[in-house]
Amino acid sequence: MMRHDDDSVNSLERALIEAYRSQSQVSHPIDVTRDVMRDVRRSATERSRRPPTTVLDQLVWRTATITAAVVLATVLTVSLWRPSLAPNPVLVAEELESVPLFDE
Amino acid sequence: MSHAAVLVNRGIIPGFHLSMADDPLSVKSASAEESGLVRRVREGETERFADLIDRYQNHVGRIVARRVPADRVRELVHEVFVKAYVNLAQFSESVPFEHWLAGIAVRTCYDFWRARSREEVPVSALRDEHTRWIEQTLSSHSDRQFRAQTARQEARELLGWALARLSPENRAVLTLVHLDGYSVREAADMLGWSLVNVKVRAHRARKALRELLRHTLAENAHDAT
Repeated sequence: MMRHDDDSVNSLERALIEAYRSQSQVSHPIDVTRDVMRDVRRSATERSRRPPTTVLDQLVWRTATITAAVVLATVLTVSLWRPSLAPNPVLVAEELESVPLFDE
Repeated sequence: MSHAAVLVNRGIIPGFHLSMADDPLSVKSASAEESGLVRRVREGETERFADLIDRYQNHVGRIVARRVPADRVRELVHEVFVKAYVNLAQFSESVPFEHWLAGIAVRTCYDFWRARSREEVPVSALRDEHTRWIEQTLSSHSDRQFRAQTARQEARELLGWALARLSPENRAVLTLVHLDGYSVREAADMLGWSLVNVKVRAHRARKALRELLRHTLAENAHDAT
């Protein structure tokens, strides 16, 4: 019974595949040139009006890189030249030495 | 794979062959003339794109007509060429232009069925003439009779009915691999999916189709008794 079922399914599957392939050989003449070109011309006009995306992308990335570099350089320069707010360990040590101990 | 096998797979030579091999895509690169035409369009000669449309619209029409209802073919072919123009910068010239276009056409049809599945368009039921067609096909006594059955309108309608019951992903893969006879690798390239994904889907889609056919046969047998 199962074997019979498989044979029927195989035949039906084969028939559908052949139906698809016989349909595929039928040509479908189509002419969309005029309609597509109308959209293509419109798209081309719009593109020519705005700056190309790649140029815009490059401009954004360059500006961001330069800004980041300037900020980094400023932070480094300031941190080098600005006197430290933290207590100098040498001075602290000298201060401690100069204070007399309780039993002295 | 031999040239003859490729022709059988593509349905150019009639025959029954299910290709599941992940054969390499054996295609030539774009011809010099084709590349020149594409380059001119890219450089701003927009009107040259009309030559590409004229040359390939029937090729795209055939691909689309096999996948979507007849009343939507023109609209989708139009969409394929507009997408091709917009994405022309991505055409690498390592494959012929018509292969690149075929990929766009296949993905556009897949998008069509995805959108349709979201809309939940009701799928028509099988009619009596389809049931009769199944009975007559299964009782064909000769190869000639069998082929005559496959050429009938009911055969195409039944196939459309069966495909409409599959998910858009299964439908796309089943059509490419089992019906068109493309290799898994070619199907993966066209859909832009991984090889493993297409392989798994091809197996599942065929299983789903066979289950559907088995169920239909069982129902017919039940109705007959």
